Amino acid sequence: MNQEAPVIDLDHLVRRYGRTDAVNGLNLRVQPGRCYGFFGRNGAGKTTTIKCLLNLLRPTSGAVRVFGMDPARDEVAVKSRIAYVPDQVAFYPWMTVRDTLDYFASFRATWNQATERSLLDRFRLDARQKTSHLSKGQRTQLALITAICPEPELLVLDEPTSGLDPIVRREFIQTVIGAYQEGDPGRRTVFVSTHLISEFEGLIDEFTIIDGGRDVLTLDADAARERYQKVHARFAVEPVGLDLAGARVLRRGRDIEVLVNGDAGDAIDRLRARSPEAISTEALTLEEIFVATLQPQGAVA
Amino acid sequence: MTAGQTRPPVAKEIRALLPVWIASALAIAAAVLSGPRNHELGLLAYGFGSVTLGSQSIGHEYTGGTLTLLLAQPWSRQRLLILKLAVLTVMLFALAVFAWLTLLTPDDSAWLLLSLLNGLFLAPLLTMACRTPIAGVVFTGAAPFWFQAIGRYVNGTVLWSVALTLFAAAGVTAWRMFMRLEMAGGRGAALSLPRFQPAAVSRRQPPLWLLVKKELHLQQMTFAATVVCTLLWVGIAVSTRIIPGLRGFPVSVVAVSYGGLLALLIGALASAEEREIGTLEWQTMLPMAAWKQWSVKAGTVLVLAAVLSFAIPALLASGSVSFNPGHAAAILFLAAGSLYVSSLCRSGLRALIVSGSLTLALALASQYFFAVYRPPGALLPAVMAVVVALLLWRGLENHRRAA
Repeated sequence: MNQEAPVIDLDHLVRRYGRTDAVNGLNLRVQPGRCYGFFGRNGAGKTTTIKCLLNLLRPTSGAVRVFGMDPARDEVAVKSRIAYVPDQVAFYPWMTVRDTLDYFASFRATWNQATERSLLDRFRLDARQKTSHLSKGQRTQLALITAICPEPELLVLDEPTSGLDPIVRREFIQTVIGAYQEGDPGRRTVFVSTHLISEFEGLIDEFTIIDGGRDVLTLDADAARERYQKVHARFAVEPVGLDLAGARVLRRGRDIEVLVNGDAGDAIDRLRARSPEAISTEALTLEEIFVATLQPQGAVA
Repeated sequence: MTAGQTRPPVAKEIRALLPVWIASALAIAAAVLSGPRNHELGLLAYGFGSVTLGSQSIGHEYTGGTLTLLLAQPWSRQRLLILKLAVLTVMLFALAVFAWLTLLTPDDSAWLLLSLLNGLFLAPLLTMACRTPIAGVVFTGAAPFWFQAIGRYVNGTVLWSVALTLFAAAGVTAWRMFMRLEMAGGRGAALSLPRFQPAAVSRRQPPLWLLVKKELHLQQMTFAATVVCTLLWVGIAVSTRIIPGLRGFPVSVVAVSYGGLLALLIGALASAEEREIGTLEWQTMLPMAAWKQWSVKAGTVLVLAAVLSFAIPALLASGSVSFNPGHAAAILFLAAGSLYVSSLCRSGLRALIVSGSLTLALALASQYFFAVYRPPGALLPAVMAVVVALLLWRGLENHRRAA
């Protein structure tokens, strides 16, 4: 893992709205060059956290550091190195796509015109079209172009694929985000908040799952796949009195599926002791880890 | 930073303010061309034009939902605000010069300066405080009038000291507010008036009553404006009793103007605000006939206009404004017309500007019409009733389409 100074460093971040704690003591560190997943259920505090990173909201307490700087005090220095795609994209309705790109380019020191042309073609966006005539998905595509063309060091994406059709979504995730990071590997960082975890599966290097404004799980994606295992066993007859205390067990007649957090050896030994017809293990996907982490135990067992 | 890089943001600001500038200039020109008797209408157009420019400067970012992306750009907030204020100042000065060359006389110099300062400092502040441009217009639109009316009875030095101090304080507060502006999400509640209902209520309530409550909630700005105006009114009523010099304050003029503007506001908010919030589409999809929903909306507008725009001003004016059926009909006509415009607009402010401009045009046109033709007594009310019915019917069609 890269041990440089973190791109994002949150230390006991708290943000309250009235009496509600939207973010409640969140700790998070994102190293440069990573694609970092930020997962949580609706209302978990993801967007509030992102807005604190961008100085769109001030923390109630705790520390926020982006590139080692305070986003409130060094606002311009921080934002010069960031691009942001919000969950709800809006543009000035009288502008065309061309005007909008020129408008956002004017705020930036660099703007890759070749990337702009390539993405306009890829997304089949007509530069002469007015933004008020764009569909929701096309507005998101335009927002992505405005975020990627300045070649920022940190790309912050808040539900970036909402409204995109499956083909564009796949292309965006695998080609656009991937190509963006490969343009300067080790330096370009992606911080993505999404519900479509499975679609980002191959890109995510590390992730944090938050719930109720707190981090409940932070793991390297590969380490997570090693740690979270799914053991599947098939028996000749439905096993009775099988003791797998502490593990999440899903019973489907003769089939038993055990979700294991940590060493799967113990669960495998216990299952083997009952002479199954077949037994196999596989790593959980990030989405399954997300569900297993946040879903109450009783809902699975 | 090159001039090329600054050009698109400047062009964007100009483009955002240009429609209001043009509408204001046209309204001033119409008042000038229709003769000296409409001088006051011209002053009104200039005053509201200035305050609308001030509100739109930051308000169009709220209306379009673009403020989050703007603040996320790598420019300091100081720089963003300076750019906005620079463009606003130029537009306000341009409107002032236009008004000075066409409409204003040396006697109107106080109105010119008050309107300009109002648009530059007070309107952006109220827009940010309430997170909607319509608040900037509603709460500050009458400020120059109040200053000028009170100025007739108060020492000029004292009045200007108070006015300049107020505008300076508003400017400083607006600056600080923009520097600390937060984007908590969505458009946000424009106003949050206290709730007087018990916390625990039955989950199932009659849908019609819920519709009425929703319509009343959309009118929070109207209620707030009524409270502010009533308090000012009470202050003047008390002052005129204590300070002999204040007797003769043009209470009736204030009452009629306030009533008319409030009727326009009530109609403007009713439909367009719901469209701006984004609830109109699913509201019309609820399993209740569209005509029923529209009837509740129109009924609420007309009742509110009758009470807040006619009865309360007449009561507060205590005899200066009579309970004249013609006045009441005019108020209902304005509210219905504004509601129709609102059913076509995407924001309450736009509906208010358009219905205000149409009212001004109608006022000017009716002067010429009545000069050449005096309709028999019953004809005018009958025509107005037919027009109101047509407007409400067409409004229902627009509501049904929810476009």
